Amino acid sequence: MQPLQRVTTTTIEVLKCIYSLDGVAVWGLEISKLTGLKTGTVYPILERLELLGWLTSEWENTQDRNGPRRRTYRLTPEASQEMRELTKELSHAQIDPKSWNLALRQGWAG
Amino acid sequence: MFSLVDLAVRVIPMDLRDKYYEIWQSDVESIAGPGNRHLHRRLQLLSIGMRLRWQDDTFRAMRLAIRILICFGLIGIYAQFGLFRDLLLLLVVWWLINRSDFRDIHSKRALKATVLHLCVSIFAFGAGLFVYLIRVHAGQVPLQGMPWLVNLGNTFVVASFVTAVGASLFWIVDFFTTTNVLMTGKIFSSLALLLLGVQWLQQSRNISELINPSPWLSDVLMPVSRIQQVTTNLVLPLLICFMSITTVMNYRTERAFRNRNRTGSRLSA
Repeated sequence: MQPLQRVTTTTIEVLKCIYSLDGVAVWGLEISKLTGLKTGTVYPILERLELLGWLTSEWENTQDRNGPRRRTYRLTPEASQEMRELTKELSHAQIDPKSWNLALRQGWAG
Repeated sequence: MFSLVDLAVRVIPMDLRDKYYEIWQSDVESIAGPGNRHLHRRLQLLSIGMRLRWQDDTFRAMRLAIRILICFGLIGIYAQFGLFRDLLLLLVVWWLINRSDFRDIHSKRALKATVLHLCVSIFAFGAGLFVYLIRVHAGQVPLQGMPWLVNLGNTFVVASFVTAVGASLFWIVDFFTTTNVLMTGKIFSSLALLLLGVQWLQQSRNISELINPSPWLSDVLMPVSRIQQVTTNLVLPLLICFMSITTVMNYRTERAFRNRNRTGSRLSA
């Protein structure tokens, strides 16, 4: 898993949304609805997070439902672990951005 | 015949085309039913394609070129159209707020304070222009007979000064709290401070020329306007240097980072 270079608010929204589903796979349109972000914003973020090893994705099995298959996403175990620790620090981030800087730039890199 | 979907699919990087076309089709069908392709759905695919292309590795050189072109374009507009400077700055600052890292709390606050100052500044300029036009229409009526206009002019100058000082304080805090290794954050804070000072001087001079609320203001701003001219001429080359250095540094860091990862993955393989 590679560290995130620049974490915009939208990236955090997407990460928090996937993390809040607790391991349940979710598709892009659902993330778009849950976060209120446009799909044009969500898909490039998902692609980048997948490239960096934060997410895994797979095609949904269409036998379970009618209609075209959907691409579902979930956090990798390492990313889930990091998100678990970082969610605890989220409240501190409002006061001390350095904790986030250290955690994201060094902890996640390592 | 021209097809927006074809264009959008071509914009998507080659290796991602099938994947995202299928994802888009699936989304459209689940929202609007099979075969429904309204214009905004097609534009959605184009938007996805453009963003995916923008962040693609093969587009790196083009990305650099576009960024440099935009920087020079903005600087050109800034230098040419004095009246639209505040508006242009407001758009750039607003864009920076949305693009900045969520951890850079102080710079985000400073950017928001700058937006507030620019809004006051633009409103003051608009009001100044309005008063000036009324005076011209009425045959250069002396302002001494209209104390409310004098007060209005003074209020704008003071409000602009207060918001400029507020924004400057946030930028100073950002300067001392930024911790990045390349020092770009500190340089950016310093330039933002300088730009704010110049912008406030320029705006106060504009108001004093348009409304001329109090004789003392003109007396004070006369020598200051000379400093302002010098600083404007100084800020522009500084901004160009800063943007060029930042772009090149980011490019080199990104390349080094990718090379390191490539070597790492080869070694692990």
